[in-house]
Amino acid sequence: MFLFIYKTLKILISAIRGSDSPKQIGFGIAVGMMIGLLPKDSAFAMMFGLFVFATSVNLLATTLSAITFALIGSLCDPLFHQVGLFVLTHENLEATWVWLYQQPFSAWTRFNNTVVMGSLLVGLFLMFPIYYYSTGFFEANGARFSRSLTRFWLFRVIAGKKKLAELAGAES
Amino acid sequence: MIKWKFVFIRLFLLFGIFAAIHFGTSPLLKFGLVTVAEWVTGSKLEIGSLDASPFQTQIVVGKVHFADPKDPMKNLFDFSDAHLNFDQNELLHKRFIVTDGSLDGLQFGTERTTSGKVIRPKSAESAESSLINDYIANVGENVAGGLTDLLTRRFDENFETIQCSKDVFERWPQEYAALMQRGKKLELRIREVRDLSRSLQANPLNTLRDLPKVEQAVRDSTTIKSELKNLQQSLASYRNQILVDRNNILAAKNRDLARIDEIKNSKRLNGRSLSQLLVGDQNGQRVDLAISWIKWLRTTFPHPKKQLEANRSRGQTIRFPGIKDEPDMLVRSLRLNGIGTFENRPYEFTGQIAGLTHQPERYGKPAYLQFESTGDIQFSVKGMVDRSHSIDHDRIVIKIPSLKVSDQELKIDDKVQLSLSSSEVEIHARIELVGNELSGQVKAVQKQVGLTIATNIQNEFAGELKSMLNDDLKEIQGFQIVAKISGTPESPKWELNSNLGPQIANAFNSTISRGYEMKKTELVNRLNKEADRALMQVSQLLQSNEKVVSLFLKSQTSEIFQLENRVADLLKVRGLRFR
Repeated sequence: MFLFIYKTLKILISAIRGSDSPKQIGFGIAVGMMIGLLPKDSAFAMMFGLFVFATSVNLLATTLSAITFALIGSLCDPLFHQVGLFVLTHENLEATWVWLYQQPFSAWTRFNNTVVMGSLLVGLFLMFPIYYYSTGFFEANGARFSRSLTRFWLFRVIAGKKKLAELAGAES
Repeated sequence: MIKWKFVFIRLFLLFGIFAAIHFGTSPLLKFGLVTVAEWVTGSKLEIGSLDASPFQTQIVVGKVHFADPKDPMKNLFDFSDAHLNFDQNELLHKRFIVTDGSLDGLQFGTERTTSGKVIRPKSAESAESSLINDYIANVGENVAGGLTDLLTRRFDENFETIQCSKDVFERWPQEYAALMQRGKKLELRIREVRDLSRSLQANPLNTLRDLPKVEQAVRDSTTIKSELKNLQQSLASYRNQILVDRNNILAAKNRDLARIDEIKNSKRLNGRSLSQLLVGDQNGQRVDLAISWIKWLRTTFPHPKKQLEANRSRGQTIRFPGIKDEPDMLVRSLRLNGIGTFENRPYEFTGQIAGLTHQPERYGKPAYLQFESTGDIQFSVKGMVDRSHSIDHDRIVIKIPSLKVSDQELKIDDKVQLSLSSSEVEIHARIELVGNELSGQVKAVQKQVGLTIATNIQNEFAGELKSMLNDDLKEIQGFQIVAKISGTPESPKWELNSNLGPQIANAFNSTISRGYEMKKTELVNRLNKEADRALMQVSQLLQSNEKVVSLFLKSQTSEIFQLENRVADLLKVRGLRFR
């Protein structure tokens, strides 16, 4: 019984740890940013969450990114509101919004909320730069950054012995 | 190549999340409903079972008991099962539209075994129905006064004729006796003169010896004659005086007749007051019930603008032109059935609620409620709750086509009551509450009624009068009561109109008038009889006493004259003569 629980937890931890290539970490940070910036009562946030579970992005990076950008996002609400208000009230886009509003499931996204629309657009706009620069950062400093993380107990638990051995080998 | 381990782990995680949502929704929703309801109302909400999930379009709730905030030992309502079917398409548009639902075993006001109080809420003061009652409290005595006055009034003790006759009968025998007494005294003196004349006739020698006596006797006879003459004059004056007294008796009789003629019922019954007295209290209860229903509508379905519409703290929701906003939550149709009680009699009912939403301004239409009973007690209740505008508008229409009413005692005052036999009443109430202004009416039509009078006044006339009154009351076959309502729910006012009071008042006034006429006729007859008897007795008194006294005086006068002549003759024979 205990063995089953242990194995299950190991599988879950490996899933959370995910792959740790710089691209996967960078993509995790970018998607985490989207989740963090979007209001959580919008279905957009849930869709991005499901996307994270369905792909092999680094969940740890995604989680930390989502928490960080959620704090930043609440401070940026006035900006999101202005962007969303501009887009949603633009005359040329009115027909598009009306059509979209009448589609099934669209109401769950609350896209007609200025902060939702604003944060979605700003997040999409920032997604590639965040992915690009964070990938570059981890390609250049990934190994050193990972080793410095081994000082933390939580990271050691999540990473596991194999990973720690890999990191130690790379260092030597 | 597919990485099965990766796929399996992701699927496992997704399955876990969906399973948590599916199985966690029911207990979470149950906990949320109970917590919110108890926090808002301070009364316990008990939910037996709740089956809900975002992945199904139906909610099933079983055995719900919600305690009455005003009476913790009773349930405000409870029901055994509820099925709510949601529109799937509307759910995709984030709108919870109950297309069809049912609420079975609904009951109101059932007893609880444990207290349903969570915290003590401040209960609103109930509207008093004493507006009429305060007024009618003092009406009873006035209304019944005419009847009780008639039944308790003493008519015969103040007849002047009787008093006058009594005086005559007491006075004149004494007067005649006194006159006779004076005559008797004269008779004694006449006897002395007679004895003297006999003495002189028997022995003439005594004449000289008794000469002073003879002289005195002659003088006495003169005096006696004079006094007899006075007595006869008195007798003549008595005759005149008795005639005057007889006329006085006749005058007293006429005054008594005038007084009898003036006797009337100063307390005529007022039909309106009587209506309020007899049915004001009972109808007040009906009005209270109707007003409580409309208040229930107003409090149960408050204006959601301030109560339920949540304010988004983040951003602004844009409403696009050309799109009609539908409410997020709407009950298009919810069928109800359950058991209720009316005047401690159970009944089954079915009903329907349509158009119920927490966003009525978006919906733009009022919500409708409809209840109909099945079984012995027939009634229907139709309610309309309109919160689609800034001014709230509620309406309730209650129809009870035939309600059996048991025997009733309609108390007029402590001495007089009316008995109303069991009958059937038809009630139709329509009340509207626009803003805070109440309007409408409660109409009750009672047919095939049997009214009888009951009084604890016991005298010879009461039985006869009750019989007369019951005959008049039999004419009342039915009546209607209309209460027009105005004011506010906190301070309702109503004006009572009924034809029961006027009908009873007519019967009472007619009976009392006839009763007075009967009494007056009886009094006149008795007075005439008394007066005639008195006058006859006066005549008899005059005749008998005058005859006796007159004969006596005549005989005495005749005798004194004879004696005087005899004494004169004797003196003449003896050569004597008085100068």
